[in-house]
Amino acid sequence: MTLAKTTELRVGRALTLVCRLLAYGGGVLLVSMAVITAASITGRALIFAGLSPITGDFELVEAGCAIAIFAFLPWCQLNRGNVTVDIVANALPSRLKAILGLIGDISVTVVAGLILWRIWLGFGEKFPYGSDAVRRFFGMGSKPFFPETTYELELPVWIPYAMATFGAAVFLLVSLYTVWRALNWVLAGEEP
Amino acid sequence: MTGLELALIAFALMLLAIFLRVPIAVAMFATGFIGTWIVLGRPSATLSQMKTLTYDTFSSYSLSIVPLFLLMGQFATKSGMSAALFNAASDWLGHKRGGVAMAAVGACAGFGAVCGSSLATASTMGQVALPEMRKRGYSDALSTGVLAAGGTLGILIPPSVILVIYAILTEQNIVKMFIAALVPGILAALGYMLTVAIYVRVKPGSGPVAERKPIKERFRTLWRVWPVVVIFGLVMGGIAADWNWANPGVQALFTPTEGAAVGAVATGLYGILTGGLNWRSFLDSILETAQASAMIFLIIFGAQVFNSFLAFTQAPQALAEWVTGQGFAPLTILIAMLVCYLVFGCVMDSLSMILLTIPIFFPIIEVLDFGMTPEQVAIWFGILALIVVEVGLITPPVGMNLFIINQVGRDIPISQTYRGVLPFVASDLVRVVILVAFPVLSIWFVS
Amino acid sequence: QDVTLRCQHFLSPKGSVPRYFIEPWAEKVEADSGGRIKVEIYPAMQLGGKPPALYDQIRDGVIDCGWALPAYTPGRFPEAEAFELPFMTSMSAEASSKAAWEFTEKYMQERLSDIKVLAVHVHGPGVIHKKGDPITTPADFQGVKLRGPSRQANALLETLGATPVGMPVPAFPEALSKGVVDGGVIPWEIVPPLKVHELADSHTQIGGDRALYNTFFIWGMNKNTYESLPDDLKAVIDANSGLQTSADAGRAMDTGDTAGEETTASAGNTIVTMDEAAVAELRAIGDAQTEAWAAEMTSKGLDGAAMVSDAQALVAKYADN
Ligand code: NA
Ligand code: NA
Repeated sequence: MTLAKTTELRVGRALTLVCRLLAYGGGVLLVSMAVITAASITGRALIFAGLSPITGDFELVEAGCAIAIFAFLPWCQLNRGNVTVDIVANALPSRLKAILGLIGDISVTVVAGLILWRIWLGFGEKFPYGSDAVRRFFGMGSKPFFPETTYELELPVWIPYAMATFGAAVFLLVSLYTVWRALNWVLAGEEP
Repeated sequence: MTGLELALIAFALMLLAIFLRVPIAVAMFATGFIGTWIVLGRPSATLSQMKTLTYDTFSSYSLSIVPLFLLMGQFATKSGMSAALFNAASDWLGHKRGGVAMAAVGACAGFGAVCGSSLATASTMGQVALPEMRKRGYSDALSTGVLAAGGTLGILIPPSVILVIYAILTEQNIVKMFIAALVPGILAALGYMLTVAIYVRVKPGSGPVAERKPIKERFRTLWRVWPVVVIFGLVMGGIAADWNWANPGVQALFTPTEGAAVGAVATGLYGILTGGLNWRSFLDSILETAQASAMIFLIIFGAQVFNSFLAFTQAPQALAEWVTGQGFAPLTILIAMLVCYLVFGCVMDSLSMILLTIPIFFPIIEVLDFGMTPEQVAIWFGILALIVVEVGLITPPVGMNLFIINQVGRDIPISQTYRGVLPFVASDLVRVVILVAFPVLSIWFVS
Repeated sequence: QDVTLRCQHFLSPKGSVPRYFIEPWAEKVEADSGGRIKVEIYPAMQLGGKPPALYDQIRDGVIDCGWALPAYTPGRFPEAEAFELPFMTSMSAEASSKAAWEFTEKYMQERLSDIKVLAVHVHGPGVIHKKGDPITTPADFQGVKLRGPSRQANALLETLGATPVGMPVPAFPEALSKGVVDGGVIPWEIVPPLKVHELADSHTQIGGDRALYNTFFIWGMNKNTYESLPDDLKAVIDANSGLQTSADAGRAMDTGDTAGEETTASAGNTIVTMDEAAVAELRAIGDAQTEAWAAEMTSKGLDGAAMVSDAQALVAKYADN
């Protein structure tokens, strides 16, 4: 007995694609960070030849790292990549082990929900637009007088926050799916 | 209930959750969140912090070294560089029992001389070395154990992020701290090699002996290592002015994070040029990097919430007050503190331990009489603290290096890793005893 | 006791502000309240979060009080930047902090209305710490890699031909020892904790009566925590906030500066002061930047010119007394 196993598998395939694409996006960002940094070092080393380091390389790496990690979270959860200690679980009957896995996925989902909720608020507090009514409707928290920016490039901080929030949203979506998947494993009596 | 009691109960519940298969990151986060709720009587403190805590944690310049080195490790593996390195190590040392494992320790030490982070060293060397060691018949326990321990050389051998933090908290000269860490760091690497030698003699099945290769073939495989040498030389050379403290005229080209970026770009370019890195393996590299990075950063996030809870309980302060209130002799107090670190280290990460405890422990140590100058005491204590918090990275059940290595060999049960690392923990403890008994090993250069 | 205040900052407990301001402040509040208020101080962000989040932590009640830097969230508190402009503050952090308090009362009431501001302050003058020969003329800046202290100061250094390298203060000693930078601009007070006097050879003080740059600091308290106090304890907090408390915070920086300069001098390092002609050249560049800043503020709907002239007048008022 399982819960809409065929639909679950179909949703799983679709989400795998989404997570993969998101992770690729984060990876490309990571590679760009590496290239920007390497270019900046080259510029700094060749100051005498008239080159210069890239302005804001430091903060680009910081923002890029955050966005990339948020883009990686869904893929990690989809593969149950968040480390667990299975010493006890391996000694238990397979259904009980699957139940513990289900509990683990539920707990990740709760945390993912908290993360999304809070970072949405964090985004709202960096985002200086929207009427009070609209902001209240979307639960965006207090509106800043002035937008916070990065240090050198004066890039508004809400932009990377928005991208991070998107990653957090997919993370929650995927976590919810993994609960469904884990439930089906429990119903089937074992994890594949 | 006192803060200390609450902290102890929280420890116990967290361990229970971890052993019931709750992901480590979630167990730490949940304990910290609920614990802070109990201390303050409201959940809002953690919730308010979380508006910016995830983003701020993930957007760390110093932590960006982790995904960058992970990516470099992936590129190195996919383009055949790691295989070349270990073919050479195997041809030259494989006929000695445990030779390849010792070579892996040496590689970790070399990497540690460039990189100031244990996480980055463990993740890079894990990706590079673990598949190669398993391919050569090393047991899962020994392979993961030696690499988890080898990863701590990232911190034990200077440069080292933890020492920088310690130097700032205690107003010590960072350059002197780095010099002081040199001998203990080398002792650590030698100790791990010795441990390997003993390990494979006690358990001969864990490390195979290969046939001795003819010298001509050895040089042929050695020649294939040149890209590793060039790229390593580039990264190392760029950061190498670390080794020129005494001669500041030589300039470093870049910081460790920048070195990671250069390494990733150079390895990637090499892979593309030699054809080892095609579109498909490039995408695979990204997915592997994604999974390991997300796992590591989520644990760091959970650890932050947990550590903030510990600070709210004031448990470390209570423990420190208890230790000092006993009227112990200076050496006993020192040992009591080191034991505290070992205990906390089972479940905490090293940077948070330093941040939480040094402001409490250091003023106590500072005024004790060990028959040394204040600077010598500060340096000596810093080195000892560094080592014991690093042991925390490899002590079960919560040891960041253990998870990282285990993540690389995903099919290896964590219990194997726990078992394999214990001899190396023992080697760490022996080293601590030696360094406590002979302070001169840490402070030989400040007379 | 009745109330516990949990206060957090990101420095080591040995920093000038924790040692000479926050701890004495806490002791005074405890004494004035007859022991009914207990102040717990958590250094190095022990209670969690990153330094840029400190202001929000105070506002949201994560902590009861804390030490926040508007400069860590650029753009969010534009008025505070007036005190970070080149050659705005005087050589006395104590005097300039009084000016900063009065400026805050006039221009930042609304901006800081979501916390209870206990004090605002600045630090002492920035000094150029360098390996090798000191910088004595504007031409000496050519091609020198310097850890820059603030956006305004970095732009000034860049105009002079130096290459400002951005990095957090804690990263400075390592970068200096490795030669990633040739030097950096920091006040005297953080020289001993970072051991910069052991890593650098020469130290150039910018002469004249105004400091090259500055940073604006807020010592603030959560509003609800304050409101929930009984009236007599509120009075204790009130008596330990305001103009005089701001002056105390500034003086903590001055005390640290004196100690830092003495440590450096006794280490036998070269300390020089840039002469007037050289400083005049620097100030001309700084004045242009101040004008540009005022224009930028005006474009944001703030009265940039008035802020500059008021800040200058307030600094002069306290510097000359
Ligand atoms: Na290292
Ligand atoms: Na541990």
